[in-house]
Amino acid sequence: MPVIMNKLNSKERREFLKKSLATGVAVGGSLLWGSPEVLFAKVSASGAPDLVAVKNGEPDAMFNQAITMMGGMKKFVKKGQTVLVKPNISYARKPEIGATTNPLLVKSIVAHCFGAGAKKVYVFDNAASTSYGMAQKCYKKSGIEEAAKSAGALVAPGHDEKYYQKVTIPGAKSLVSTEVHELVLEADVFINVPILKNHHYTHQSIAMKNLMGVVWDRMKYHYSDLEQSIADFCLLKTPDLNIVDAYRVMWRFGPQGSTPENVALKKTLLISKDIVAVDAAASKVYGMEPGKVRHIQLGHDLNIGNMNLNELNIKRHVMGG
Amino acid sequence: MKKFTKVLGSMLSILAAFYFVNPCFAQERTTKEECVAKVEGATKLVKKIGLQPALEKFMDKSGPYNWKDSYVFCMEDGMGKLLAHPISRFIGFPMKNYKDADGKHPFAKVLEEINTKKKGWVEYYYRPAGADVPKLKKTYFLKIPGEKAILCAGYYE
Repeated sequence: MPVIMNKLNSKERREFLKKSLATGVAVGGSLLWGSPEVLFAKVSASGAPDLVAVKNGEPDAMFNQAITMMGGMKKFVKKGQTVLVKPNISYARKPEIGATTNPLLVKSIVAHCFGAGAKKVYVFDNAASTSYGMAQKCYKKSGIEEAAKSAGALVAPGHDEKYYQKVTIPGAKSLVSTEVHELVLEADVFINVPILKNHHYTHQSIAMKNLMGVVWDRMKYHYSDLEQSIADFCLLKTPDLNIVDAYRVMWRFGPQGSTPENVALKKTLLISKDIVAVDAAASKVYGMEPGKVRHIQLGHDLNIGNMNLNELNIKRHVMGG
Repeated sequence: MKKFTKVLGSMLSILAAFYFVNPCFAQERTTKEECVAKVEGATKLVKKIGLQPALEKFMDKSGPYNWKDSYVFCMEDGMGKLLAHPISRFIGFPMKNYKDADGKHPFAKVLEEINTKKKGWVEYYYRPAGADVPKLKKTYFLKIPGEKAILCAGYYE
């Protein structure tokens, strides 16, 4: 798992990269950062894309295209592995409101995981209201429970503290400790599937923010420094793959949403291993510069990922185009 | 303090919503006239018994300053630190940092202009408990003469 450790700061990293490229020792650099191909992409002719963006399709069709362009699900899921798929199921809203991940996308991801040989695929979220009844409503009304089950996934509960384990986060400034759902700690593969939407405090809720749904005490983020806590969590764990649902994009009254009038049909899907990069790209889709979203900037500054899209190898595809 | 002031605003909107789950507060809708009358009445109470004793009255959930789907709240000059609110855990929160359901800071301008404007109305979006859609809330504010405090009460459009 790509736990961040032994990191250089952003400026140091870029300076080192320049020197590494100049002297042809880029391979050595990879040992330091885990996934420096994100930054090397422009000079690598054969490297896999850092980020794939697909437009103008239905959620499942766009995912089929995007994962193929990323090299296929077998690149991320090996035979016999256990996979956790973590959509946004925070509110009891229909997909048309844009508050929760599109169920068709979740279904397609689960199917691809099994197709790659996964032994088990779990789907779960800690809904914004943790009471059992409300969590059940969120699972049902979002359409995600039915979609996930129909593809063979196990829909796991997240409404009880007994499922969570206490962890400390080295290097965190705000969220120094928290309780994380056991599936996040135990699954072989962790796939983060946020929806891109408005958030009245953080501007947007995307991939980094979606990880708030794997901790027990969500309000701890709010009591301290929300954006710093969002970035801090990524020091503990970043997903193996981030798939951003930007099919419907709620642009006002988020994160709960309001009516379909405040939702734009963007028909876009983004995929990346780099959680900061995918947030930066999604922020652009939303219409905002990533640097203006504080938790994305913090993630970049903490070397969790790279928000400089011009440094990434981005592959784009327009469906039917 | 800065962290507290910045992020507790989201709590304000979430927990205030739960407060109004109480059916006692959800039955009737407050009117514009009632907001003005309650705030002016609250101002008279401050003059009569003093600010601190009056704040305790405002925070009494079964008292006259909590009625229908509204309530009187009181904030300080400057950052707008809450001095009285029916949800006691909000006391101390600086309303200057409060973001409404639309991501705006409705009280920032009120607090900047209060020493010249003295009274008026401020609008913002608020999501009552159980509501699928945020509602436009209009809140009357009035600076208490001789005090560094502002009284407020709002209604839904």
